[in-house]
Amino acid sequence: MERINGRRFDELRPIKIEAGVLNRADGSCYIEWGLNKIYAAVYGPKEVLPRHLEQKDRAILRCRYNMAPFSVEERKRPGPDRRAVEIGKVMQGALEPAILMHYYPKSMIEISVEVVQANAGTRCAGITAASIALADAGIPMRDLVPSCAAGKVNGEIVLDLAKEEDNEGEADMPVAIIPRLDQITLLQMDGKLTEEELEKAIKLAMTGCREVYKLQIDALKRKYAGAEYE
Amino acid sequence: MLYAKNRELAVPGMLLAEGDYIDEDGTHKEHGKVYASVVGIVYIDRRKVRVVALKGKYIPKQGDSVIGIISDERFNGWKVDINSPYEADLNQKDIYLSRYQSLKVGDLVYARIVRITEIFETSLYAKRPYGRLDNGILIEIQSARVPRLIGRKGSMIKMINEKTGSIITVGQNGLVWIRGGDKELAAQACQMVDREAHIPGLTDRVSEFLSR
Repeated sequence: MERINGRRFDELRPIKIEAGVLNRADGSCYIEWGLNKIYAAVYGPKEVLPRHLEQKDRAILRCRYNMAPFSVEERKRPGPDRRAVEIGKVMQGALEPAILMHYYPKSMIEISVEVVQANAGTRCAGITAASIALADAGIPMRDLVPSCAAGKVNGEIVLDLAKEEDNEGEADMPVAIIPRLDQITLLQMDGKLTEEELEKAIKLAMTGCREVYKLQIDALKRKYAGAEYE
Repeated sequence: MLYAKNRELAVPGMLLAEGDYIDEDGTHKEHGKVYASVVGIVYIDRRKVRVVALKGKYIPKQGDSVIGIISDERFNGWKVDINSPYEADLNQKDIYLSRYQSLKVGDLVYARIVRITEIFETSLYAKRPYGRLDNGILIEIQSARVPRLIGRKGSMIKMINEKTGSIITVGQNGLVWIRGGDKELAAQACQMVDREAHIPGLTDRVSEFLSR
């Protein structure tokens, strides 16, 4: 089968990751995933605001996902909407199991994901970038969290759908994993898949995640290469 | 069984050792395996494995000397902002103030962390040689860079002191207080250490900068 930009069924779009790009944030990351361009920034751990969310025995994680008005074809009304709130929520769920939250009781970690240009798969790219930003902020984690989508286009299961494929395809399923523990921390699906197709798509997405994982490690090593300490 | 070399760069989730190893700072142990939990440099000392983080907020530890800013007054002491997610308490009896001195919101103290609970309720002690800080300037560097600023056996700080004539007090929490001498120059040198800590040959460059 021919895919839109001549990719194989199990081929990712080109990914470029850079860690530590923002000066004001405690940790940050910029990712270019195909035509997606996304910034992730991490603040904290810091005092909890609003106060009533404070947990005595662990840190809390707050995620904000925002799309720039110019990130999509037709101008998007600025500000949070139903979709942004949902993605913030699932990102929080995807990243929290990987963070050692009990290290910093009574504190808060804030993640802000800013989509500058969107081309399908922004939540996956956002999670990938946010986990690097967390590592860049020096927050202790069990592992990095790579994320990648799989879906069904023209009756075939393919990896990492681009915008045109997503719009015409039958299903899209973002997956985030903790590679070391082989655990899935995000699994959403829109569209329909049979049971066998679902199994196949999850497997495919997980192999994609592992590829992304390698790129994440590369990005961090590139940023901190040559560091010495006394 | 060791999987990492000494002084190697580690990223979160990297397998460092398996079996009878002790997980110290910057690592965690799961099912008998020690993994890195932060980005940093691996140090292995016999059976102890630790990763020294290259970045991160200051987290108070017992025995640390820190510089704090008074943030609130209480009936028997003060709340102190120690540049970390957690505020510290300073009791009135734990600091010596002469009859003409007082401690108000915004004042600086140099203090030692004497006690810390599981939920980071932190108590300070500020009697001699600690105490209130006067007549100086305060700068902030990353707390992970503090050991670089101090240098091996205090070599870096001694050099800055000799060349600028300033007295420099470094808090483990990344706040640096500079008094006397050429304060501006000393501050610039400290900031230089913060900025270029990861590039080799730091001591020579700082020395050259100060001699200019």
